Amino acid sequence: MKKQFSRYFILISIFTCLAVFILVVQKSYDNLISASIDQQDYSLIKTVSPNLNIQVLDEIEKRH
Amino acid sequence: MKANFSNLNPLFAYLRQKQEDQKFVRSLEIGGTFLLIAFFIFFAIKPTFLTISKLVGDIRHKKNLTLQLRKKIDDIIAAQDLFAQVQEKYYLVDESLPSHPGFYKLNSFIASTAAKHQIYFDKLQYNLKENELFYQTTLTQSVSFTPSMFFLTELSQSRRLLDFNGLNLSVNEASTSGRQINLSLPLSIYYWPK
Repeated sequence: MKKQFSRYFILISIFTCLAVFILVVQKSYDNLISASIDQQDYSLIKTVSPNLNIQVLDEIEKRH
Repeated sequence: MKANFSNLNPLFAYLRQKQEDQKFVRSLEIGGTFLLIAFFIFFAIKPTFLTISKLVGDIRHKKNLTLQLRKKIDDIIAAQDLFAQVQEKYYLVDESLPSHPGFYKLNSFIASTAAKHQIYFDKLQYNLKENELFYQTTLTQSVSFTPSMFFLTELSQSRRLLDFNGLNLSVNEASTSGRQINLSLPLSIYYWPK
């Protein structure tokens, strides 16, 4: 009886330790990946395309 | 001899019991150690790691944000340069697609171009419709074939945005020389009202 109890006790404690370790690693990774910066910053990231077709102006210039 | 062994049996049993108790205590110690480690990880290491990872994540995100914003600033500077170039040639845009119908300018352009090729229009009538970005006219005249082709070529090379809706050429029966043709050219002239 004591032998079985000690075996289960060790197993449970090892698995508890592993579960807590995995939980900490998972939450840390989640924090690392997901940014906590406000969404309002994202409006600043919208790209501006500097490409203007100014060849049309050259074509117009060639005409009279 | 046998009596001696029988006397030692309780001692062996006691020692075995003692050994089992020691094993039990040792297993309790090992289990307790693991539980303590779990407790320590949960209450001491977890908050530290979560804070560190959050800070590192924020720093990485801000680095990305800085790169993206730097690229956007460069794009804006490039766009400003391009816009300055366009501003220099804005008169071309205005000549091509003016903000007003510009009848006088168009009239003098058509009349002068036609006159270069000995073509003279009796009248030019423009149909301006509301809520339309263009107005229409039809150039109709009895002309010689070759000058009319030069006139059409020159007209198609105009800076002004013109749309040739069709071209009608027919033999002028009334012409005495027989070299005259009837030219009918419907045009749509575009402008961009403000």
